[in-house]
Amino acid sequence: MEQRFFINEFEQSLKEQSDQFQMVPSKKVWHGIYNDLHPGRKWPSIAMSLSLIFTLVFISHLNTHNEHRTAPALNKIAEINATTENSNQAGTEKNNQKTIVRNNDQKNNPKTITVTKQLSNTASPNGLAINDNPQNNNLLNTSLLAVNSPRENTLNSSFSEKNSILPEHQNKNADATKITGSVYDDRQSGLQDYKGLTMVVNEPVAENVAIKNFNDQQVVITSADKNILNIEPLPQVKNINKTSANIKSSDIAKTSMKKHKKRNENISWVYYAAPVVSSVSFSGEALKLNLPNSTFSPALPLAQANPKENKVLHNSALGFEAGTQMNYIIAKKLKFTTGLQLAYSGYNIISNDVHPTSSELALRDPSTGMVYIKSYYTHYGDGTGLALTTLRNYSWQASIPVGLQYAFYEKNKLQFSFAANIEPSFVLKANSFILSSDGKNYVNDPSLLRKWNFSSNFGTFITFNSSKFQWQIGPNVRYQWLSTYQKEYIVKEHLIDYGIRIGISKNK
Amino acid sequence: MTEEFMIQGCLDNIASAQEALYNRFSPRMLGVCYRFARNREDAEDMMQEGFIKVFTQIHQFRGNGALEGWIRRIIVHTCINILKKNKKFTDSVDLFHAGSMHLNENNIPSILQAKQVVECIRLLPIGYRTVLNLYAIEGFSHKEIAAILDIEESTSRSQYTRAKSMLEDVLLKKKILQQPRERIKMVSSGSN
Repeated sequence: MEQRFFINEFEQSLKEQSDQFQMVPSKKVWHGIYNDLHPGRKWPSIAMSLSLIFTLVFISHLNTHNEHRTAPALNKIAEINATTENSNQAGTEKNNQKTIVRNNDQKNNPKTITVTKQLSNTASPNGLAINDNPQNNNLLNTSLLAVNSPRENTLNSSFSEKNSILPEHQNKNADATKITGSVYDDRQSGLQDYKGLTMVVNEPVAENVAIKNFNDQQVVITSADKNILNIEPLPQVKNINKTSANIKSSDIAKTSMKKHKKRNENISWVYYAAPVVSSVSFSGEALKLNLPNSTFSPALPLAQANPKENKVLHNSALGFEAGTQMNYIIAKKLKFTTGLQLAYSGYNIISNDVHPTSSELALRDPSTGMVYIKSYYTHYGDGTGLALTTLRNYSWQASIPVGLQYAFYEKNKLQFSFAANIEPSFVLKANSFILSSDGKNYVNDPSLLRKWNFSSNFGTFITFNSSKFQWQIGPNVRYQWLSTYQKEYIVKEHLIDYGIRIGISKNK
Repeated sequence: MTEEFMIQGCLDNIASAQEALYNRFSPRMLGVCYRFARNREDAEDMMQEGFIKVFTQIHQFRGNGALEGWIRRIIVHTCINILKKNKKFTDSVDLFHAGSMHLNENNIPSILQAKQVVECIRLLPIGYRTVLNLYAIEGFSHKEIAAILDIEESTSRSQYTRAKSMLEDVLLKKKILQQPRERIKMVSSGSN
């Protein structure tokens, strides 16, 4: 009996004590549950990650664009010295030879440039031939090709200015050259199908003629007579032997580099960082509750004016911004700017430790306008108690700033500029302590945080040119236009960052 | 948010209702998990898995009993399953090994009595602790415990006896269970 009584007492006491024991779980538990129950909600994060990766790849591509564009030219373009030999052999291999046909029949036919693939190893192994036989106008395999002027080596210089590509029926010029394939047109950045059109040559064009085959070859032919498109009849076909070609790709590459260098001169990259002091502004009236003992019933009015003024006691805190910015010159003093930025900002809340307690937050359903209550367990008071503690509301945001930069004053090595941009941003991580509706506690609810936001950045800075680098320094202000929280929480919180931005870019 | 509203919201897979239910019961359920688990992280993992089961099986809740009891039962079974899966339970169920273990009761933090009791329970070897939790606190019978843990019913009884004895020593040293003993003595002396 004694033992039985003891067991009962022991178990009862143990159960009572154990049941009273509670622990506040960390936020990651709910996040884990939420992600498991709502896997579809992960897509915005994944989409953002993918877009960031895509942006990075795109920027990398822009950085290395020059090399990418010149590499094929270096690899594929062979400059071949035309040699005059075996004029008849090439002409007989109509459908099988890679042949450039030069038609010298000026009266009846425009000049035709065409290329056929040569299969006959005996005639001109792996080579190209220039054929002036008028009978070869009907060659089938006519993929063509590019024309580069020796002066500028681009179509958009001497070719485009002095010569033109016209429809065949408009061609009245005796110096016209009929194009039976496609022309590598640098103005269009690639092969263009000009088949059936006529190239009108008003002045001698080329010493070098770059020929690009549709299949995989691209060649440049250096004609001996410096005018391969000249209408003067040539007595023989020039066989161009690739294997014996004198490869002079460096000229082409240099030209291409020069051209893209011009384009890249308009682009500069700035790497910057800015220590900031973060503050916050609140707007909107919170839904206040004035209910006894924090217990709610649907029958009771949920939103009532609370005579007590509930204010968040907060302090500014340090943060930072860092990123990379691409400047593109669109006018003498005006630049378009974009890039990637990482920002950390937030503020400190003065709170105090309290015994874990239940607390409520009145929220409003944005679709229906209905007010509902959300319950929380918290051990943070409103900062009026004794054991003061500091809570940190912060956010990590990745953004893509897009804006303009205007240099309003320039003297010697100094430049004074004004910059403004807009920043669509994705909240990577954030912490949010919200004052409960009764104003007595702070509750933590990350689910109320907005994932996407929108900010603006304004600043002026001085640019100093040193020998190798450009240095930038100046004040800037960042304002978060949308509230940190979703629409359910009526109070709007806008983060404001005041910082000194320091940037560096390499002189070209 | 009322309980019915929360349940209906959970049935409709509405995140806010699920979160409200979680916020209401998670502190107590974490306390339950903490008694079974090795540390807080394990307890949170157990609770996370348990709540996922709660939300996915909430349609099975008929409303006959209290929602908290139903959730608690799921959480407890989840804890046991995790312990069995990780072999943490079976590795430590050896009675001899458990009986010779030294209890370092100096590690018990003296904050609150409830917490002290729980920390004392957690000092027990995991096999003892599990049986004690299930029998004394969760209210399972030895037959049910034997079925749950895949052990003999007699093993459950003996483990519980040893666990209780071990815990009693710790609690007495911490002066948490003074009153019951004194009352027992009083009762026994009175009966004599």
